Amino acid sequence: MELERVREYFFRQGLSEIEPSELRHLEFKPSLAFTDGKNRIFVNVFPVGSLTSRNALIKFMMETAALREQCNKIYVVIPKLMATVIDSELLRDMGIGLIVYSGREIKEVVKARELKPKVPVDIDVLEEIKQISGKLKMLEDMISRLEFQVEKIAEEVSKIKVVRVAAAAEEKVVAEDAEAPKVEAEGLPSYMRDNPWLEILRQRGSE
Amino acid sequence: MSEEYKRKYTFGEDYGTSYYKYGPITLGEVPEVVENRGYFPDKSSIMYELTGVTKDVIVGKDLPLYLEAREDLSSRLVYPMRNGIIDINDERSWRVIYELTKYGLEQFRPVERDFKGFYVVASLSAIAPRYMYEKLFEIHRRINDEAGGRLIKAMTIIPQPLAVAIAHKVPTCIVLESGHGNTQICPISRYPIRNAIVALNRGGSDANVLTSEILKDAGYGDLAKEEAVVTMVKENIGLIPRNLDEAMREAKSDPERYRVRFKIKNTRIVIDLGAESWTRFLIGEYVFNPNHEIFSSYFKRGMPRPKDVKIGDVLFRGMLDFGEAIIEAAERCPVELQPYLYRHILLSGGNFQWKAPEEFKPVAVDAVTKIKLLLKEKGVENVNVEMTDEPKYSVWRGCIVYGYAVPDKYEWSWERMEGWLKLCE
Repeated sequence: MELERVREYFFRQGLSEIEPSELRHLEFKPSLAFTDGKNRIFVNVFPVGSLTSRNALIKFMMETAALREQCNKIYVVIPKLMATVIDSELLRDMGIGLIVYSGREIKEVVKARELKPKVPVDIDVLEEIKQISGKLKMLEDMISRLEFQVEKIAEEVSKIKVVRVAAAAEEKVVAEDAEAPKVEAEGLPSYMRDNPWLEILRQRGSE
Repeated sequence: MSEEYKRKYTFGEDYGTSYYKYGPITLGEVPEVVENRGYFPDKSSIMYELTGVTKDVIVGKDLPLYLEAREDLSSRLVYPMRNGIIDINDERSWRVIYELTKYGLEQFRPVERDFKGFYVVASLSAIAPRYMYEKLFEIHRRINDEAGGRLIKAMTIIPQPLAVAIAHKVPTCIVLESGHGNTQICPISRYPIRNAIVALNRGGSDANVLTSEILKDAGYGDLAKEEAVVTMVKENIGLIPRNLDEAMREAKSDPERYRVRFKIKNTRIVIDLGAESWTRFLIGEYVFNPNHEIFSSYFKRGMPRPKDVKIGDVLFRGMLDFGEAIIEAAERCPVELQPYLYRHILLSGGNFQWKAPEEFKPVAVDAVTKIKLLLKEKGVENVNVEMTDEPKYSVWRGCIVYGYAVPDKYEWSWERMEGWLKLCE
């Protein structure tokens, strides 16, 4: 009953209701959620039937506080009767708006402050992130495959180099023979180039 | 494993007295360098809690950020290789070596698919006893196990002078490696000739002690206590005399010409030796030959004389001059080999970095000339003495060449003290 009246109240302000499916990722869900096309306004209505439970109000307020990080504005809606036990100053500090109702009357007692949602969660954005993650994974796999192929190609190229040098040696072409050590020296640091120790050390174990 | 693999994954480690030089072959000409030291933070201090340090030992480039009170430093800051040898039971020093080694290897751990572990070549002082080899193998094995068994494929340890000879492309030579704490003279003929090695208990730190005495005599007793200042002064004012008597005579007769005023950079401190500037020559002479009678006066006043000490199986001689030491090492080798050894004498290490200003040329010389003069005095002429290029990096470079060229199948042998110790198949 009170939910319907609250809904009407916000509709009159030109807001439209957000589909519950768009809020399924939230741990605590507000009683109602609206949007003006850009911002999200959550409304938590205190169920009258809970008045008998001692901790119901505390639980209700804690859940409301937890929702502050998920929307741009938030309201609590309580029966006028309970307004006397609520400290409006505290709500103001927290930026939570207060709406009280009694009979047909609905009144915004404390204005809700503009909040900065911690994560502007948008179901479309979530979906998009999901798709991007999938594409990234595909790219990663592709890079791994490419790396593997490049390594194989590098191995093949080095084999070809060895074959080339060996072929040159067989032909005993003096000029080419002279160039053979250069193949080895390519890319090596200066202290390795023309270092007689290379041959000495290569013989270790076979002397 | 092919040389192709080793061209990517050979890793060199030089455990020098002051610096740990490390890194893979892919670094090219210059390794990474960090100070060979570790800091044991005071766990009971509030700073320890505040900084959130969880390690017992801190090593690497960020170490200075953790240093606390100055009076604590001497006990908490450990330089494990100060004299090239770590005692077998010196757990703190071995802990620092473990942390440094791990720090170095983890820094360069490759992500490539073909990586099956590094070929690690570590280098120790030529006089390092066998237990140091065992400990270092054990440390690497532990690091490899902790890393899942695929960080180090095989490792070996070579003496620093051999690495120097390799880096300088000279297969037959005598290498003089003079660091902070000691000096090793090692003949090499394709292999290090281990039983001809001569070790001296004298290095850069002894020249620091003498510099400190000179500063005290000149009225700078407060500065004489600060090791870093003393080192700076030694490096900036010390000169090697061609002949000490002549140099002293010359400097005393023309004190203004040899007068030295040294300003410590970024401070207001200026050191002026004034009429005592002739003492500059004592610093250089003391490194090469501490036997001149003038040094006796310092010994009598309490300056410690470099003593003969035995560490492990090695006798470190205190007062032997560099010339005699080279001859003694050469003469422990076959006579036929000796001329070849004298043909290449390589000087390596920070203790040979001396300035010989042009204006003092008749009396001040460089390290190469001083060694030639010392040998000539003893009848050895026509020697070829060379300074190593980039002495700071030559050991690491030698390690890289060794690791790259020595075949994978050449397995470690305790008799030869060479070969690869496989840590994973």
